[in-house]
Amino acid sequence: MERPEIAAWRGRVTMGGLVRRILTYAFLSVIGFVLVLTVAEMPTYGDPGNPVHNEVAARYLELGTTETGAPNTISAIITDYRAFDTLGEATVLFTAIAAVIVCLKSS
Amino acid sequence: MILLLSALYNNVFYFASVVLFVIGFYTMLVRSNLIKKLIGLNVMETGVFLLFVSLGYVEGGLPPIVDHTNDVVYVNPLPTALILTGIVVAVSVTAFSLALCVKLYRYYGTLDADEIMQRRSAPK
Amino acid sequence: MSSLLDTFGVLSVFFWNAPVLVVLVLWAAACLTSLLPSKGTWLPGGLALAAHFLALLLTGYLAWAVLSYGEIRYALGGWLAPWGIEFLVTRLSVFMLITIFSVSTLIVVYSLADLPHDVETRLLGGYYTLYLLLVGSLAGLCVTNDLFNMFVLMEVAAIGACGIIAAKGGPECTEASLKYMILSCLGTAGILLATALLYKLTGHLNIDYIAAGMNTAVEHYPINSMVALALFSVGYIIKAALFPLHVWLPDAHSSAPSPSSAVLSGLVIKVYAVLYLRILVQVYSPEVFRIVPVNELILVLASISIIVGSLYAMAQTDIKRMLAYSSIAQIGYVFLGIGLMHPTGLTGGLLHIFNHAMMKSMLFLSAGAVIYCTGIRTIKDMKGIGLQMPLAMSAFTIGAMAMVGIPATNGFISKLYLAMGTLEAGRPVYLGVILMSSLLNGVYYLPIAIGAFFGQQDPESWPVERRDCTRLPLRMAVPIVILAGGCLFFGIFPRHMLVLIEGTVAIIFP
Repeated sequence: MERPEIAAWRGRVTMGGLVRRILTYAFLSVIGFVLVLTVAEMPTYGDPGNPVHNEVAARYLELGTTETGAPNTISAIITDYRAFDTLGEATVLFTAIAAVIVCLKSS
Repeated sequence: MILLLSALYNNVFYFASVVLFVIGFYTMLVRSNLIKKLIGLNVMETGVFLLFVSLGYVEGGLPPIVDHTNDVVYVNPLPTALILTGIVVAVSVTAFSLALCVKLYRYYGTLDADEIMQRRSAPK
Repeated sequence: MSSLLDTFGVLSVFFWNAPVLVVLVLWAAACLTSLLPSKGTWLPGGLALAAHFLALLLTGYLAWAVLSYGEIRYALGGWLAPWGIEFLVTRLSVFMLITIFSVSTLIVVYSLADLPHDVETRLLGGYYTLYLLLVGSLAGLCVTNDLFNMFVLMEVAAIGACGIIAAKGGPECTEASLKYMILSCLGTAGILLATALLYKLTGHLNIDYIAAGMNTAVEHYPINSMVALALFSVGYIIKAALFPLHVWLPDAHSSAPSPSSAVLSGLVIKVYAVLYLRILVQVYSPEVFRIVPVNELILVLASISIIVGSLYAMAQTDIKRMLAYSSIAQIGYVFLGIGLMHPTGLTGGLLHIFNHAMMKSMLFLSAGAVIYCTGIRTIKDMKGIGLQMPLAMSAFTIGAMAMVGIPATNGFISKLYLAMGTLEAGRPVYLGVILMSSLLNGVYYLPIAIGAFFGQQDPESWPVERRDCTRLPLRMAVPIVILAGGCLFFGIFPRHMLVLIEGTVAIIFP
């Protein structure tokens, strides 16, 4: 005696759907494999010699407090060094609100 | 193989972010429910955010709240600051997509993408 | 005297900050528009128009400054490049800004009359808010030199674009908008992941600094840099609607209100093509193409997209849907120019951005005029309509000829450059693609134009929604006439735009 949801599932499985599913899995495993290779090649996590830890971060940490007056360097970056990104962030929120209002009000 | 595994072990945060990315992508491709698709999208974006934030970590680093009196190592503040922006962007996108889902549910009475496709093609 | 000096001081500050004001003027106008009372129908549109005129003024200043003194670097907030965000105004940005604002201004004029027909009056304020945010962020995408800032602006543009589709209401628009939103987010997620990879390899977000560190990065981390390139390619191909990932475009562009279709088909997808070009030539060096032949892949996808887009367009019965499929074919030309990696070909591809922006928005606007006046959307009902609406259909005919590439229209010039580029690059196969697609364009565009003037109306097959022809309002007629005139003008005197493009191409291929 099959459970009804399994029977329903069996009814929905078609040849085309099966092929599509297999293709999807193959596609995903290729992507996953490439990304895993990418991870293995990346600079080691937490290594101070990584390209990321360069003069940019050094200046934020050394001069951030004196240049912007904020002891928290992250606040210094989001409100001063890269303030236009924050303006963009506020604009994204504003756009989303305007879009939601327009979308839900239209009939 | 052992080299690969040890590299993955060293970069376990990057690995986790890639796993999240693929899980999110899988959900978007396979699920037909629109809300699940959006959840998949968010998982995917979370994966990217995790990758970004973990880029900034330095071995033994402290949070970048600077106190010049003693000599300590701080983590790189830039990726964290960027991701604060990124999270808000992702939330806005999700909010608008969910509003569109609400509208679609009002029109069709379902959130299943396949069913919506069928209903659209049926009456014509 | 002192007040005169003060005025001068304010003006000089205004122009000094032109690179960022070009974005902020539109965003500020968007904020004001959303505060306006929803009763007056002309107020939001008028404000949008005023903001566009200001932006055109700033663009004119930027064009003058760039042509006389070379590229402008503008450090936002005074923080210099690797620490703060930098705007870089080059000839390419000026070219894109001119394209965006000249076409967009005309679309706003048109929408003053057409929009109340498609969008409810109380939503007009919201519509113009989203429109201004979209155009402002497109302008920002053309001038920013920072990859993360690009991501933020792309999301503003994506939500704005989906918003002006969904504003019409109705199931088709909502569904098209959601499809566009999801695919576009998939694209931006890929682009953000690629940005993260490049940031990890080079430690910078500024394009120039990334380019400086890219050689060592490719050497030490070849897989990472190639995966980043692949992710950028997928992301921008989704956003620019090249062949295998174009699925969102036909629904989105055909169901939207006519002004939205014009701006989406004419401008939005082109901006992403230009961004992709910048990633390819500014971030990665041509040596990369020897390791991984990305440009070959682009050429193949562009050719498929040209042919398949044209074939699908032939099969359509709805005029706006046909125009949308034709956009897929035309974005293929732009990518063909990029993929040839040859000066002449690239000149053709970039010139086609401007030319296609003019002709496609004009075609959408004249199709919108026909829909506005008569309610006809299907192609076979358009027979004989030319006698009732001579102006709209004459403009449509000029656009159709430009699409085919008949001499003395602007489409001819860009196709000529592309064709010469294929020969000079030693790829005559793609010349065949261009010629074949011109033929296909002729097969589906010209019968509409001929039928409209010489065909016989069949009153018995008139659709129920057909109305008697109303007079075309002046605010809709003027933009169509100006765009049609532009198509002819730039077909006969193409030098004006070529100056900017040749300067860009000379930098890319020294």
